Amino acid sequence: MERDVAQVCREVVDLMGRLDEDVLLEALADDTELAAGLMYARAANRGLVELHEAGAEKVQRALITLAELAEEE
Amino acid sequence: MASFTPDPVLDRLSILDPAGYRAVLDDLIAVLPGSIVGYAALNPADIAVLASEEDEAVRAGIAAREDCPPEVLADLARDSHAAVRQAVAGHPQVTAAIIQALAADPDQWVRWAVARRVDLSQWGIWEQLAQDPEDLVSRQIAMNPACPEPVLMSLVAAGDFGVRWDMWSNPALSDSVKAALVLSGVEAPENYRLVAEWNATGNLPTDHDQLRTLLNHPGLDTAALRAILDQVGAGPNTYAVRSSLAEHPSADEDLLADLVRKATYRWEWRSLWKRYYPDTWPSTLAMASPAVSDATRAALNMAGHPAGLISTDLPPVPCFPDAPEGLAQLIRSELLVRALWRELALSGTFAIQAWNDNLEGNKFFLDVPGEDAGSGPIGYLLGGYSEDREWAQMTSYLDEHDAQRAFANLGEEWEFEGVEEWQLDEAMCAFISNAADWTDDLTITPAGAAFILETASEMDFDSEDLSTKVTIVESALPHIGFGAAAPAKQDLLLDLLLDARSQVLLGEWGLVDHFLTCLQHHPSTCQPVRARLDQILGKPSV
Repeated sequence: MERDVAQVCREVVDLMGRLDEDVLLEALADDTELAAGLMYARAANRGLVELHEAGAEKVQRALITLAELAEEE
Repeated sequence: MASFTPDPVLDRLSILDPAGYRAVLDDLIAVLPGSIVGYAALNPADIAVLASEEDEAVRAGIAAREDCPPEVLADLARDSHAAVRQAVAGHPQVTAAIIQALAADPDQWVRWAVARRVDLSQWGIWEQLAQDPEDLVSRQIAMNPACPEPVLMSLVAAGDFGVRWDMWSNPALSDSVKAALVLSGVEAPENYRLVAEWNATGNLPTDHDQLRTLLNHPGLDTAALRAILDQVGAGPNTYAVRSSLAEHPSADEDLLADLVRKATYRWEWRSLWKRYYPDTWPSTLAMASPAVSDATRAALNMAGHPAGLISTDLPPVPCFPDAPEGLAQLIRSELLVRALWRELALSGTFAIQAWNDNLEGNKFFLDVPGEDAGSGPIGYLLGGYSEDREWAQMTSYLDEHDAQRAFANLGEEWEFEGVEEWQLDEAMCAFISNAADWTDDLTITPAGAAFILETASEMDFDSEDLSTKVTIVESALPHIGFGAAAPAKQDLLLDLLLDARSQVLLGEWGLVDHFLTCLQHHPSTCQPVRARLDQILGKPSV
């Protein structure tokens, strides 16, 4: 995995851990694309998957959405 | 009234060796009473013994025999099991006292069986049954072609919708009863109208569902059945019509042969197989049972039972019944599959595959290269569905591939119920498995595959998602086999298969060729038989 993608994945997982559980659950249930990005990041962070370009883009978009959610919170 | 179960091998034994025949009957009555209860040639003493058998199905079988003596019938009419009394209620030779008692039986299915009789007028119990508190009984009276018109009219007036609806199935309705039904607000059901229209015009409906409905009518003649087959053809969406055609009593040999050639689906395979080969003979059940004596098996072999050809401890005797019937008995009893598949799997020649399939039924088949046994009639008729195969143990397990497939299916519509660690782990497995299957987003690493498997093993997946391991274990019939059979027996078995090949179902569906391939690849097939097979099938490429 390229270093920047690995970094993004770490940030996603870190943000997920800091988000209020109810907010996170609602976001995961409502937005399949966001859920996919978060789950990819979680898996990549643990070496369970190698992300391709399309997967990495989903993680990148998920990070943006997640950051907005954290800001709103 | 049940028809008798044929058994040409037992019949022949009775002529060849009357004492041996008697000993076989005694053995079967003692250890396999259910197998012999429908055999025509039982004497009154045999019938009396079986009538006191512990198993109520055997007693019911005796009560269903045309030749059941009156005194035995009278005893069985007081049997504690309703199924036995029900069989008595349908017997043509019962007395008035028995019928009157059974017409008031506490069990509705016994009264229903009385209501099916067409000879009730002599006992004056039409009204009693028509007013039965259970509509199962009164509906049967409404359908009874011998039911007097005043009784039918009283049922129309009583107003029960189900009774009036079923009355349209009565083939002997007068015009006044039909008019009364219509006036009461119950028009003729679709099948009745379809038959009436076909009778009047000779035109068949074009809709497949209507054709199938029409086929429920026994009055269609062979020409009509042929016209229906010509209309539906061999299309994959019309298997239900062809399956009904195969079960129709007016289907003749030519039509059945055409249906065999057009069959593509298990409904058709099942209907046609039952049509061609409906019975398992008592002698076949005996050859397939570990409970019968060696003397019984030896006697049946001497009379030419085909299972003798795969009984390694018996001398070679040519198969007596005609070859297709003989092969069908070996298929029905699974004896030939037991002999060949077991040895081919043990020798590593071919593997036996099994998988769970909730839609099509569980599969069990010999994986012969080039054969479509997993989805065709070979797998369906020779292997599928039977769960009580004691010589093959099946164990379900989950491998990495199963786990990813199961999670991928769940990932289609994953519903988040919480964000605890284990819930997120399961969701992650579902999302990445689904993505690996359907997108170019990612590749699962070996560590990921192991994690998915570990997570899946904690979950309760459907049996369909699991793999099945087949282990060949000790057979309860250790004498059934092929490899250890003398060359003369192997040769006789090959003759049987080749003679059966011309029968349309056994030939067209590849059943005979499957067994020929088994013989050709069997490591213990003797050289002369192998040479014959190479000539017929061509030398195998592997």
